[in-house]
Amino acid sequence: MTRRPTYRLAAYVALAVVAVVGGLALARPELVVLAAPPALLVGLGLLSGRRLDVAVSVAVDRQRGIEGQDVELLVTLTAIERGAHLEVAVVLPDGLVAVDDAAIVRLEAGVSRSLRIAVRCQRWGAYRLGGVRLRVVDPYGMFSATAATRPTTTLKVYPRAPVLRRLLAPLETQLQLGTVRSRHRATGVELAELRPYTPGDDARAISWRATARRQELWVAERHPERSGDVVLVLDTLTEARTGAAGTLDLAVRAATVLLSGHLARRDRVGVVGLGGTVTWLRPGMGAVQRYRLIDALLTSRILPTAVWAGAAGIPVRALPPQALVIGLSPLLDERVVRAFADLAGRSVDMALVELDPDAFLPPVADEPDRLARRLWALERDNVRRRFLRRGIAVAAWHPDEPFETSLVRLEAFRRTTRRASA
Amino acid sequence: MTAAAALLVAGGLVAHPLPGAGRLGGLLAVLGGFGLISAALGIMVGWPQAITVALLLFAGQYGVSLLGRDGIDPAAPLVAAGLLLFAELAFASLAPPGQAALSRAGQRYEAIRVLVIVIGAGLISAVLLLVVGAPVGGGAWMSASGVGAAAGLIALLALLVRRSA
Repeated sequence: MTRRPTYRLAAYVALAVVAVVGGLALARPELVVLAAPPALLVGLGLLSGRRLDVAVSVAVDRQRGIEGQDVELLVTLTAIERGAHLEVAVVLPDGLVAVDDAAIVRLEAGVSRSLRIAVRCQRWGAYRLGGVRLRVVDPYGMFSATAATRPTTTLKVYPRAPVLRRLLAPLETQLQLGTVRSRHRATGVELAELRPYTPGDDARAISWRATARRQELWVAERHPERSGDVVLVLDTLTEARTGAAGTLDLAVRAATVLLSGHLARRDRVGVVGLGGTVTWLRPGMGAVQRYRLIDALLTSRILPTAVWAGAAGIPVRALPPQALVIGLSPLLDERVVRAFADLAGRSVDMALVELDPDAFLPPVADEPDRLARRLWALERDNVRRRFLRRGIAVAAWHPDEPFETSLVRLEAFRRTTRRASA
Repeated sequence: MTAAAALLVAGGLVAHPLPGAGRLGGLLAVLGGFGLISAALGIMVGWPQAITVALLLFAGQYGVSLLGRDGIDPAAPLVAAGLLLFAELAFASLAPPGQAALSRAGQRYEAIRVLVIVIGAGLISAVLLLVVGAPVGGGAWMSASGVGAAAGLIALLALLVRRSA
């Protein structure tokens, strides 16, 4: 770190010289007395300061954290040739906050000094951190020296995901074993129907109670437990945002909750980011897939674009046939609305969670504002009705209410439409 | 806030010699007024040279106020401390990002540093004033040694500044 003179140096030198000369010229010792303190400060400052070389290394105690958790940064400083007082402040990106204030440390030459700085993870995301700003603290104020190091390490902060007690059940299941009751009949737990025995039936399927009642052999058919394919489609084209919170945050939180729940139910889960560029992760299952999915979600950003491929930009392998597609969007952009409608046209089972943008709007200022807000609400209601008319379940999720309530609404609509179509 | 405090201290420095200034009152007011204008300009525009000019004008105003006065002014240590307080506050208010404190801990350290400097300046000035007021007589040798010491101080400062540049 190379020191630079502060404004004080020139001012105090000038004051000292003028006061001494004036004191001599006017024969007033008071003026020489005025000159003494600034002259002393300048002298001490000039004698004390030289170039200072400091080696800095930063390590974080873990690579992954959860929102609200604290992680610890270990900043190690070593003064190469001479000691000094240093002010140390870590540079943190938005979403991370230092719990402890920056520190002022005394470094001895050649001796390493470590600082532990607690950092609170306030918002999900993938962060680069480890940048440190250093300032040499000059007690005389004559010189200043600052330096900054670049971020060197990565921290992934996962959103908090409360456990869901209920999840949407896909209309169609896949062949893998799981916990979703299939509509088909095979070996399972839940009773589907009773029918008379036919040669070739498994003897273990015979229902002895029904057989005893009817005096002939009857077998019980059961629904097998299978897993489903679930694809979460996030709208990364538009969002409503106020400060640090926005509908994209809601989308990522909802997706994290959903993928955790579905993976725990042994469903295969994939994710699609529908924005300026279409990103996707093919459905899979297991703990590794969970981390893959969350890592993909952490990099979600709003990317507006003029080149919009819509649903056609989503590759077929990202959307397996008969998959349950759960859209997470504020439904603000007509292009996204059309894309979801196109997706519903493919042979997928679709449900939409409308991430309520009202929570991120400024308060109504005047009458025209109120009217505009009402018109906008009507337009959004119309969009919702268009989906409902096509049999696509839509439920709004307001950030103040638990996510499960929107799943209950979706499930209720899906049950009604299933009954109607049956 | 530091800017307002600096201007307040500057006001105090200007007002201090005005009562009982007699026929020099006009000159003192002009010097002090220019000093205040320069200080305000420097703080508001962010021009450190104007702060230096203001500092010199305040010292000059004080020097002029001593003309024709009998005996040593016992308030000189207060003026010395006040000048440093004004300079520290004014320069702190326009410190560029590289020189400003990075954190609350740094700000606390800066506040304590200024306090120590100001109190230290007052104490050193008071001790010097006591030494100056001691009845050791005068004469050509004392005057010559005084001039020599002053010249030596200026030369030492110049040497140190040159070496550190």
